[in-house]
Amino acid sequence: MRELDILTGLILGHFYFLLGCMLFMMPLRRRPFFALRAAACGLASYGLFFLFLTPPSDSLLFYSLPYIFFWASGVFFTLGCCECGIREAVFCAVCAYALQHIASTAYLLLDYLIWGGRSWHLALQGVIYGVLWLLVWRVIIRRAKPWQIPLSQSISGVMVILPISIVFSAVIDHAEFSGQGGQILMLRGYDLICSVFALYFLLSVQRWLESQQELTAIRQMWQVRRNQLIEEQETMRRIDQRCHDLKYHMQAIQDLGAEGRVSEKLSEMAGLIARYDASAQTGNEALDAVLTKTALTCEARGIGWTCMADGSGLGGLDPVDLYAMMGNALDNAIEAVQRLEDPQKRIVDVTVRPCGQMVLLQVENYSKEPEFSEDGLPRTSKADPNVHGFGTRSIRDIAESYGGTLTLDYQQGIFTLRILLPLRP
Amino acid sequence: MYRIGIAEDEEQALERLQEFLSRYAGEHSMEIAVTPFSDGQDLVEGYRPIYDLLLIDIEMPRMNGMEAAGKIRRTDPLVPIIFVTNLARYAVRGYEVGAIDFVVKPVSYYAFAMKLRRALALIEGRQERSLIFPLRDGFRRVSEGEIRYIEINGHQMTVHLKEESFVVSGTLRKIEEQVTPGRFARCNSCYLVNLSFVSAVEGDEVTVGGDRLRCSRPKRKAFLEAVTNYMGVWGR
Repeated sequence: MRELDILTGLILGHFYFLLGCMLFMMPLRRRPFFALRAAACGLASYGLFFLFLTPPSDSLLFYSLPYIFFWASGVFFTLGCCECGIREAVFCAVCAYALQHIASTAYLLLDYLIWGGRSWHLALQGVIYGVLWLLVWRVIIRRAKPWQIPLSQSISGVMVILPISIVFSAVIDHAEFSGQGGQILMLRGYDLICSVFALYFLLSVQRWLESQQELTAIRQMWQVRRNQLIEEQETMRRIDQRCHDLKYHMQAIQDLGAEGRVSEKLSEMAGLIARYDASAQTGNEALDAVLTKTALTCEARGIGWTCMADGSGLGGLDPVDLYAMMGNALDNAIEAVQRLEDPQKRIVDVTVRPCGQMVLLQVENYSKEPEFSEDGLPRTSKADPNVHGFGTRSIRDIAESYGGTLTLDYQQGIFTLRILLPLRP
Repeated sequence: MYRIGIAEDEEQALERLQEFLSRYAGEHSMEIAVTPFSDGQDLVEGYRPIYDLLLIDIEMPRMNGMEAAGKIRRTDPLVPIIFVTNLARYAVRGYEVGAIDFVVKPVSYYAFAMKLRRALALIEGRQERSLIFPLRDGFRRVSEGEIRYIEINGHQMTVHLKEESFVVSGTLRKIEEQVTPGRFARCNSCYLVNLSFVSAVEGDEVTVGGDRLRCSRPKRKAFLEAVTNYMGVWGR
């Protein structure tokens, strides 16, 4: 009867393990005919597992084999059901293994504490598993993106989780066998603690790695945008240069005594160029460039544009930072006004003004009510939040890197963005 | 009641501005009294500093707006001036005569409303409240504009004015309740600073009318934001 108990225990244990695998598989992409595959692979994995059940022996290697194959069958199961790489399958199986080990250890512990021995309490088992799965699902799986497991993670997972359970099982079996029953409680308790921590750390490291990846991706996008801004600034400078050259030449022609129709034409041309000569002269080149570019954009889109800027104090700033800050702020303002229904309200106003030994940069525009998110910055309404929303964040970061600050305000339908920068002498 | 002077030589433009002013006043339940001038000369001749706001056209035949503003500034350094102009290019020079803003012709109501709103916030903030400090023998009345900062050291509170300081008893919190909102802020739990005297912020130190005070880490961000908003609305 004992053998039957053990057999049933193994079958049930394996079943729970497979369910655990399925839990950790949830973030992955499933292969077609998932249910069918799950059933088939499940049965096959039983085959693999039972095939390698060996009788207990003193060799640690032989002792470990069933456990290793137990886990390996989970890898095979995962690979069969989901589209994923070996590393992801290894990871899922390792986590499921750990979970199963934790659950069974907890059960054995409780069984020993309450009922003193080996007896069946299926209900209790079910409850323990249920609680654990729910916990893992709520805390990890629900928010998980598809697993991207680096090699180091999968290896360390295997190297940490499996040995813990194997070694503890070996020690506990030995204790039981040699009659040191009292130690079993302590050993099981310690096993439980170690396994819980091991799984916790494995998952924590994974989450940390994922956020690092996200950060890298955002940094890369920012770098691309920064390069774009540098190019834009260059282009503006060249356009400006050409305009000045043209005006100079036209003036020269006028001076040579152009009359009548020729003179008229020249005046006309001067008028056309004057539009491009919305070129700002604020005392700072980067500021000039971004203001001129914005003036042209606004004119092209029928947006009202007023600007009063004294950029003479901004010499201590890296021109690219200045261009990026103002560029972002103005881009946002232009987007906001374009979303307004009333075209008359499409107005952007800029002020740059020295205040003592600081400079205030201010952008005001009519806008729909923005939603502010937890960090005090407006939530973006653009389709790709990663591209646009981080514009305000990067303005704030740049401002703070110079010891300054960014404030945002929305009142009476008008959105006000202010940047204060202490000046470097 | 706001007294607004407009110097504009074009009939149409003048009417337009008056219309906008009435519209704004209506929408915000304000009382205004508008005095029109048809040229810079008329504005400057016999000018008395009774206006809350001046709208001055730059391109006028006899005396242009810049010149007029320059002359007015000699007797009235404070009145907010908004220039009205055909060409945005001249606007930057507006800083030279202390103009706070400009609008471009043809003026649109919404652009005008935005600027007017700012000018009004500036005007309102100009009202300076008086604080009464109880002294050992009597009391002292001080306008909040004269106070650079107030320092608290244990139970002793020192009020630092431009030229002198004196000791009173009291709490910073009580003072915070009495002053104009937005005009004072704490850079530290022991300093209440009048933001109009803040001339520099370098790292952890803020220069307030000549004295350098330390900003505490936790208060620094909020203090900087208060300075930013102050400068945005009233700064000069």
